[in-house]
Amino acid sequence: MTAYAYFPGCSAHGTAKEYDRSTQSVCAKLGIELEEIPDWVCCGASPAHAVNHLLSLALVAKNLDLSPSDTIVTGCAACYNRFKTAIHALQHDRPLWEQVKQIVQPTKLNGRDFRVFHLLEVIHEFGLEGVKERVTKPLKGLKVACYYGCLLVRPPKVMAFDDPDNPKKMDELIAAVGAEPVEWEFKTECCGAFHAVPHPEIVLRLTSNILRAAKDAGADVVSVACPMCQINLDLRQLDIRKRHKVTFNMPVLYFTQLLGLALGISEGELGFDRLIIDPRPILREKGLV
Amino acid sequence: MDTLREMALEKEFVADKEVVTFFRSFLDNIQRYGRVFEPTLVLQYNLRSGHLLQDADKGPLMLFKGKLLLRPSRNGAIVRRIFDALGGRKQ
Repeated sequence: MTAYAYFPGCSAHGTAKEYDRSTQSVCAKLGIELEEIPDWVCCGASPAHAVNHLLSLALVAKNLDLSPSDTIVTGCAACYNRFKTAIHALQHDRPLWEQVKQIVQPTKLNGRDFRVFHLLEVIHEFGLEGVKERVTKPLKGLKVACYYGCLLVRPPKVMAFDDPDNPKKMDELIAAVGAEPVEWEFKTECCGAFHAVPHPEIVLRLTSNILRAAKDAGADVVSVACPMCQINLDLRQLDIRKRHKVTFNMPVLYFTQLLGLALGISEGELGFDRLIIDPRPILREKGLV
Repeated sequence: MDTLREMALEKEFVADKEVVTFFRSFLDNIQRYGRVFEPTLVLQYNLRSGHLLQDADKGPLMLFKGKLLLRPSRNGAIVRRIFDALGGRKQ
């Protein structure tokens, strides 16, 4: 099994600790070896590339230079998007690469053959059968709306992640652990991302539409693969209730928490108690916790 | 697209002040710590934008849920070197 250099992303140590922990536990269970990039720094997210293109490339290049392996995995869709976009730009533009090297002054970074994967790809690549074999508690009767957001799949030529209009990787993993992925149309709609800070109203409108679509499709929970999507869909339900007088009460879990539950990892390790909308009542109702 | 945005910002053609205030607060934050430190990022944005109490009600809940990082990363120097190498063009 390949050892992956693990880029947790800034949220993993704060708002998305439960994603980081469940990622580590699930990977350990599957024998996927992760080695955290020492001294990694922020990838720059949206602000860097919106303000200075070179800065956004240099921040990714710095992390590549720090990486112990040329095969990198991250669970954050936004970081994944920044890494893939930067690597694509550097691989296709030699003068730009030389310019970025001048800025970063890399110590180890010579080649440009880095491969970056999202955690969904890594576990999917591990194999649906392999996951299925390790299930100790099938998530029978749980209807899941798999939400990918926009950053995993767009722009399709650069991301080359899955079908950009109807991605299936998370649905297949969720089905492999015995749950029932629902058919719905909001899989790749934007959640509003960083606008939660400067323009929260935009995020409330977008997340309301996503949550309503999940509910209408009969989902018990939403499954996500990005800390920014998670917090927008989970935490903002409080504001939707307060300002728009609409209550969804829809738990939004990381896909690793659902896989972990099926693989027999303890509730405490999966951090269900850290989510804003508590998923335990519905999981209890289904006999899963 | 990035280049056009960059050119507009250099000339201070800013249609959406809140977004630019957020971007600048974010980049200041990672220059300081190397990684995003959410408590000071939100505080700085609120002070700069004048939306002083925005999301103030979320703080205690996030703390209770163990979602707030209490100590920032110490990798600021790594990011500052990149900003320095970019000279005055950073923002």
